[in-house]
Amino acid sequence: MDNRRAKKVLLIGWDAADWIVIDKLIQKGELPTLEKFLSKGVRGNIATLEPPASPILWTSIATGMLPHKHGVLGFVEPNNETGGIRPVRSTTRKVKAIWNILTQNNLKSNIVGWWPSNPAEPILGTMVSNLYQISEAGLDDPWPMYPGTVYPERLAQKMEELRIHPHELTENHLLPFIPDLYKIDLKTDPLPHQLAKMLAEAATIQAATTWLMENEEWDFTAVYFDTIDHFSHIFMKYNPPKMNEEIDEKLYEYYKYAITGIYKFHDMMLQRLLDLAGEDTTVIIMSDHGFYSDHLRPPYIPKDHGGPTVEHRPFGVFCMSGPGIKEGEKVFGTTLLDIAPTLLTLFGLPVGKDVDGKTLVTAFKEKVTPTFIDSWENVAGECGMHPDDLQENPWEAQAAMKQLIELGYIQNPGEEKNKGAAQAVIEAQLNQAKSFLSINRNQEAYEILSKLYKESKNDLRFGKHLLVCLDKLGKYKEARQIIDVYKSIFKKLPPTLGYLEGKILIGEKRYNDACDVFNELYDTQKGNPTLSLELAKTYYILDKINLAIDAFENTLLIENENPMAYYGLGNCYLKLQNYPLAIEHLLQSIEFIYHHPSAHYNLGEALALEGEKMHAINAFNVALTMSPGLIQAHKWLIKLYTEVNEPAKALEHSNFISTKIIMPNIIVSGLPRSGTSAMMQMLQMGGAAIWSDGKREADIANPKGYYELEAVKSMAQNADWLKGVNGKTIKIISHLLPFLPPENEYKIIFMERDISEVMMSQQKMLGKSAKDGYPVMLGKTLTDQVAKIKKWLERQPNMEVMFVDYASLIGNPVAHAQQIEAFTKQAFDVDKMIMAIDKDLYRNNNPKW
Amino acid sequence: MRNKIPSVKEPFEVVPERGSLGLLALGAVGLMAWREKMAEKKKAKKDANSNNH
Repeated sequence: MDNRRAKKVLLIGWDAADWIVIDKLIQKGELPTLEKFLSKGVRGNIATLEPPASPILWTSIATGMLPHKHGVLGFVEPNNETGGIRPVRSTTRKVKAIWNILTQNNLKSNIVGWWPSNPAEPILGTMVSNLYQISEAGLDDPWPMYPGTVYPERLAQKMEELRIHPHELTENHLLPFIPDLYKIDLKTDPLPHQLAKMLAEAATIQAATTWLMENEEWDFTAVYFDTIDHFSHIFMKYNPPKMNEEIDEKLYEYYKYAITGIYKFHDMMLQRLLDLAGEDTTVIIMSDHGFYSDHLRPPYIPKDHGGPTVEHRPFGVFCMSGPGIKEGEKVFGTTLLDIAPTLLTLFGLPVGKDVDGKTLVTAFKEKVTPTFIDSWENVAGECGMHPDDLQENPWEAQAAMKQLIELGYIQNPGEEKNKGAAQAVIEAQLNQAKSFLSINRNQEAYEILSKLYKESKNDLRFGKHLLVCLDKLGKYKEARQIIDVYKSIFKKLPPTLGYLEGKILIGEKRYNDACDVFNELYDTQKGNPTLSLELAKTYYILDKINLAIDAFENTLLIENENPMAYYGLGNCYLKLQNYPLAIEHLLQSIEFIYHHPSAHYNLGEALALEGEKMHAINAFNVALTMSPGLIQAHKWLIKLYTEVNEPAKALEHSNFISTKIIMPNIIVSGLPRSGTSAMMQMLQMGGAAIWSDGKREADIANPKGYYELEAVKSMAQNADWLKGVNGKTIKIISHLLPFLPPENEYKIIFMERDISEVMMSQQKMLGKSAKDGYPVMLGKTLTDQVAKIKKWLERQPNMEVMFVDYASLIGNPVAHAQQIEAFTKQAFDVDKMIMAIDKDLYRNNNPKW
Repeated sequence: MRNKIPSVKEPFEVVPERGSLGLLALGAVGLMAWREKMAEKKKAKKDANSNNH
């Protein structure tokens, strides 16, 4: 730990804290502690994760890992001991949290209220679990702590004393939140009681945390408050200005100070925490997501599980202050996954290569280079996680329990409990699929969602997410079938499904139809920023730039911090050759989402075309740090460095292109007999430079030739020969794709064909016929192999893939030729490409089995 | 809480007693101080009642 950069670290979690609310209050001087804190450190947006459910998010914060890795997938989980459900537990987390890693490195932690942390883990230090503050009993009734609330046990009594029961509070505690409390009929209005309960819970967490900070040795203290989130869900609708005429005027008057009050209370608590931490402690204050506080509040909350999460704004609060941290500056591109790696770097510990986040190096005054190990999971030694016999995968255990009940070994806990447990499993599966979708592991999401959809078509959530997934996978045919199913159910598609139909229409290249759908939807939902943005993007695709500008501007009128609207406007003005305006809008887009290589690239273009050469060079260089393979950026830099008389730098980029990018730029792949030769011929006719040695001659199976290279067959042993290929198109069967040199970038056109047709065609080539029998096992193997290679492709950042269905190609070569042109970004002779498709050949190669 | 919050017939002081919320924000130390203060207040009230009788 020679590189330790923080003596101590205090991490304060404020669930759902939001910059829009905070900044307004700071302007009014209502949050003096936070205002001072911000002036001494860095601040920025922090992007949330999908799905934005607190136990999932706070576990990602503590581990730096995505939900499918850490295993916490919802608020509740099946209770495999008693049946039914229970709050998600610490034993469900499959990987080490930051406090486990610190334990292994002899560093002491205080962890208070973290979600989920019950039963408290036996770490080096103390842990007070997330069930600690919850009160259900009356004031004079027994109020025992839940089992496993406090570690170590010696502190249990002290912690118990520090709990504040809501009935202990007096009117003096509540009046700052509800000045008209005396006017409220408490027998009919439950809100003052709810407010008191939430306030008592926050004060309980504060009491425990401050006591531990004062009385226990610590290197790291992490405390989690859920109160801002809970207040926001109940009281944000009453926060001025009144946004909805349907809000009861009387209730609005009663509760309009609640949100301001709870932020002020957190500011007061913050002062005490900072005082106890001292000047030499590095402090991070953060939320897991924001909360819509303005006109973007959703008009209604869906009744389904997770419905209230629609109120969560995707960007939360991040600020950090302490020795070595920059002062008064902004940090960009932060996500929840970055907290754990940043904490490790602060403590001088290496970051596991298996985490999904990054150290926030730009927050430090001096250059920081994090160190790495493969994984903390492989580091042996006591880490304070519960022993293996307590660790549990409740989702798998639920399946095992169900089987035991069916076999009669365990008594059935009852219909209601079973239903609850089954629902918890479904919710977890949906959450896992949402998480996969958010990181573009679309095939895995597809497998979960198609199963959920088949099992319950009535739950619109499954169909909606499946449609999102199919759009991402480019499976528009299947998506269309689902849309048709819903069209047969609903007279008029609900708005979300309508929006998804618009997206599918774009995928189908029916841009005008998509425009009509988005326009019609927008007419019924004026002020919806998502619809306005989609409309703008569609106009842009249709090259209706002035209409696109109007729609992007309209999006910004609705949501003035929409980075994609700024990005869209930047591109529109770039197209109109209005470079100053393009620069202005692209810069604004980057301010909101810094990690967006295309925005930096487009900014570079606009600057270069405006004559701002040095600024353009900077922009292209930033784009390349984010996406090193952006060839166009390298090309621009060669030109610009030459013009500013820096030939050495120009040469660097020239060398990069010649050494790194001398590779086939288009690869046609798929199973043998899936239409790869047809695609090769199509590309050749269109003008692509094909690399084939012509050794395998045309025959009856492929009368137009195979377009193959002998060297491809031995790629597994030697792929050096690929260095000779420059900007050409080459055919490589799917099994050999993993042997492509990983340091280069590829565009892959992957041919898909019905497996039975592939097999028939292969069998025919081998001289077999129907009487030889249908090779069922082979069919399954081929299907599995294709699925496996698709999964692999999704994980390859250097491979961009376009899937082409062979039958669809034959049926509609025009659309496919246009899509290929767009995908490869090459100018082809589309008419000639279409001529390459021989429908008779397809029929001859597709005999009935 | 239902028993503790007075009804409309028994209105609150409009201005809160200074420091109640501030003491909670102080955490453990503030909580202890506040509980002590409440206990003293209760005792004083009890003493006053018994003196009146």
